Amino acid sequence: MEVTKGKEKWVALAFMAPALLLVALVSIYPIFVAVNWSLYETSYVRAVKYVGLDNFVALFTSENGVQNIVNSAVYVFSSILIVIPVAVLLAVLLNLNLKLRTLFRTMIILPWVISQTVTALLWKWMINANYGPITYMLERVAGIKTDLLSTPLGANLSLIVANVWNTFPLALVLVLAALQTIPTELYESGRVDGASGWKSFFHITLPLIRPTIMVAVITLSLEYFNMVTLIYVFTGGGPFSATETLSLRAFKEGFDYWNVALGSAFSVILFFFNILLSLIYIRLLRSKEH
Amino acid sequence: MKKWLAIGLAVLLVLAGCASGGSKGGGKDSVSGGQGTQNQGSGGQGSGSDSKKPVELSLWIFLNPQQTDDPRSVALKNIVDSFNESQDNIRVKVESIHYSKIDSQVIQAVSAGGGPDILNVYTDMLNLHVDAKTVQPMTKYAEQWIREAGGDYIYSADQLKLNGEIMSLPWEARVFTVFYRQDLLDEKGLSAPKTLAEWQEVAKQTAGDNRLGFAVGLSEGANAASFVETFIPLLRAYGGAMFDADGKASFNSEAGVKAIEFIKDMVASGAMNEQAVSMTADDVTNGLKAGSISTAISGSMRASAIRGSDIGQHIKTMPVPPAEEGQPSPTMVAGQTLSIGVNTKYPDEAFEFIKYFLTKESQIKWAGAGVMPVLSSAYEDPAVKELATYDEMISWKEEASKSGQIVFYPEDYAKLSVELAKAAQQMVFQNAPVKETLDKVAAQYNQGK
Amino acid sequence: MQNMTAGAKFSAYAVLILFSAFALVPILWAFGTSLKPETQILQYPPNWLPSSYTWTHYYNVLFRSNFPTYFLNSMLVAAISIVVSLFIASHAAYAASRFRFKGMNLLLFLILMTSMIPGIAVLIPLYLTSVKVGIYDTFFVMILIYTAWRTPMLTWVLKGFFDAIPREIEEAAKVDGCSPWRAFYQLILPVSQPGLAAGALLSAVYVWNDFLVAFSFTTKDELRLLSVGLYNYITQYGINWGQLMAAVMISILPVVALFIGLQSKFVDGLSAGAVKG
Repeated sequence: MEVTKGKEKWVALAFMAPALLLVALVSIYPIFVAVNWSLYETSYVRAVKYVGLDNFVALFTSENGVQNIVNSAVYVFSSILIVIPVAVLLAVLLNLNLKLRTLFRTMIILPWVISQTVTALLWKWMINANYGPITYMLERVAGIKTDLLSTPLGANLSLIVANVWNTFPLALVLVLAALQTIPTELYESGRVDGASGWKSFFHITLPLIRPTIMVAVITLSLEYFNMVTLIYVFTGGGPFSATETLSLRAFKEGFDYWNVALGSAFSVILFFFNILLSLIYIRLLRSKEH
Repeated sequence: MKKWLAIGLAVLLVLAGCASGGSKGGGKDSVSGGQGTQNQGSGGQGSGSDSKKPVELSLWIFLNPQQTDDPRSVALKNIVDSFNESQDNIRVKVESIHYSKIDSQVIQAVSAGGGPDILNVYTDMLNLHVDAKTVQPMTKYAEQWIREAGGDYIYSADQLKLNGEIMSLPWEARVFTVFYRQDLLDEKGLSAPKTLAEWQEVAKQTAGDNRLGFAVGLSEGANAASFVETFIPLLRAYGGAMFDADGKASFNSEAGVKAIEFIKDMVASGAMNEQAVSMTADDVTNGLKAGSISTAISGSMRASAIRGSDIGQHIKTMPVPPAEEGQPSPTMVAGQTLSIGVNTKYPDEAFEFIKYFLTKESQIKWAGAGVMPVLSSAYEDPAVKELATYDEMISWKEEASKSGQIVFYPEDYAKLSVELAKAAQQMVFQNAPVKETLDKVAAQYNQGK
Repeated sequence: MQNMTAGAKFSAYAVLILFSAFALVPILWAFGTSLKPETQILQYPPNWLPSSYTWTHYYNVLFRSNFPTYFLNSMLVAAISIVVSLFIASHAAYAASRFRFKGMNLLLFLILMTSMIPGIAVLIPLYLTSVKVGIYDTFFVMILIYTAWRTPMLTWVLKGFFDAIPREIEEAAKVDGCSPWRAFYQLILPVSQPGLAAGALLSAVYVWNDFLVAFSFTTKDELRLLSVGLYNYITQYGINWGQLMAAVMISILPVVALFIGLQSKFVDGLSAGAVKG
């Protein structure tokens, strides 16, 4: 990596300027406002009394505070653990020159196009213990009666499955595009050296798409950590607060209960978790490269 | 290449700007910026009723007049259009906002200095708006109008006062009542339960393989609406109340304990099971509709949705039975109301419109759309009498007038509802001690009051 | 890749069919529901195939509501957001990829950090600011926010693609006297098409499905986006399943069309031309 000289630095800045301006205005300024609110007690949208870090402490002292963080972690990591291997597998398969490839590709990314609200409503309906089509089929075919939504474990599983269904195409598209940029010559020369099938996958493909996988992991982790709508509509946080993630809690406090300060504080905590998570991932990526 | 890209982008951005600008400024309907103080202040709209140009008012409501397949939206459109035609001084434009978000939109808009001239407020939410200062008192106008209406309006001025002021006028009513499957009762040779104990028996007997005999939505989602809609009528049937005269929690009384015990008994007898823990009010509606629930408490406004299936045709309604025969079981009543926005420049004109919503003609239109009117004379109208749901509506009206009281819930009602639902989950399914748990929720609620 | 055994091919198809089924089942259910008359929706036992068909839900959605407006609004906002965010992100990504110096890493991290800000944290502050500045209730404010929120991730994704393009290309061009700008527009962008296509798709789906921003920043019905319009079918009186499903079915089409249209960018491998020069 060459060091860039002075004049080129200006060119670089020019390239980056629009992005910097945009995020400064739309993201950086508002987060400062939110942080400010989190240090106060608010009455609706007005900051009323300075309370310092009380709102932050409230997360850890309130009944469900730590549970929220645990729920978030479970939700995010379980989803990632399922989505990434699935996406990579499918991307590899859809990259092959199989018949009906376009058809398969289109069918498989369809879930992505459905909004979180509709996803939640649909899945909730389908696994309803009484009149859901999937539970009905299970009962008819296998004789098992399921009642997924009434236990913490069942609710978490259903939520994760619905989430995976809705979001795996994002990783799939990224990995697929990355696979496309691998020149076929690499595979040919690999074959000459005696590598084929699995070997070529692990030694040629995987290293080359690793950066993209990392991007997918980070992007999806952030999305999952911050996700509200799917969980709000699917379980509302229940049963027994088993699916109430930190993001859902922040949303409810700020928008349903009008405790803007508390909601802001929880969101700021969420923000820090996001940064922490990304730093960890990046550190992992860098260590693997060297 | 770069040049064309830049030009193309510029064109697109300008188009985007124009598109929104155009609909803001022009259009055949009169436009009043949904929230913009900018618009209202600088518009040069004249000083009031004696200027040539009509005053433009915005109404924020959860119905969308563009949805012509929904009878209530059609009724709204008719009423607004005929109001606009009936006089030259005022034009009202409707902004529709989803019912689950309209309150937060209003609060946000008002805090930014804008907000609607007239807004629709659900009775449960009225205190929230008063606390957030988004509405202004209309006592003078309202008292005068109620006097003029004689006894026709089903509410009296005192019933509507909050801290001595009238903040809004209900334009429709709804009761929370028992929905039950008549065909299942017939099948088992049962008659409609006259006491809560009888209800336990009916629920137990009408439960089935894929059917709950009784359901209450215990989900903490959707602000736990279904739970409070069931808990409060039960609480009242046992002689209790949610809040005492000072606004402190009083649901942890003996009556509250009995209400929770009622639900627990339903589970014990097999009429209900853990499925209830994930149900919201919509799930209860869906369950009744699909035939997987045989009895439940729900709102009268959901009747047509519940009946929207073959099975749903067999569903009838009845008031929540009392604890003992002959004892009172006050009905839970609520309704949509109209208020005057705090930032409006035309409160007089706003009230003119609100009055129009409450005329007999408008109320008849609402009745035709399946909404319970608030004028007794509307029930006398022959066209209303023809409606298929007339008998039911009359019985609901009777229920509403017997208990005769709207309770305006406090501004932190949403949070309380969710806390109660969570507590109920624990009490009903995790054997948490009932009195202690209710006491805990009450204590938490009473903190700082 | 060509010489797969029959067994390998069979298992590949099997896996694809399995996942296609997983992906499609809820959507087929939604489709079936959109064709059922309202009284048959939500019955027990549940029917996968409607016993009678009706097009009323589609009719109501298309002709008796403002759905077409919402649809076109979303198309417009999505299209502009895609173009603008790809433009901004590709420039930033190129700089991040090609110009390496200490400050650059900081700038890059700064941009990426903004994508870690939870949307709900800044929703109200943004709202208040947009009102003050006077851009509330316009397409502009939504496009602005969508673009700003997507740029970090797009920048990073595109940087990854640019990193994979060998620098020999620009070295060669530099020798020929080509400026970095020309190199970018005429050499790099054209071979980055898979990456740009992926980015376009990511932006499109995000804008298409977003609810919070679309809801919080417009009140006028004429400016309403699709995702908010869908909410009209979830009423306080109950959910209008038939119409909701019909609306969902219709709203899937444009993104599917976009995906199929972009298929040609997802074709095998980097075309040899770029590397061989």
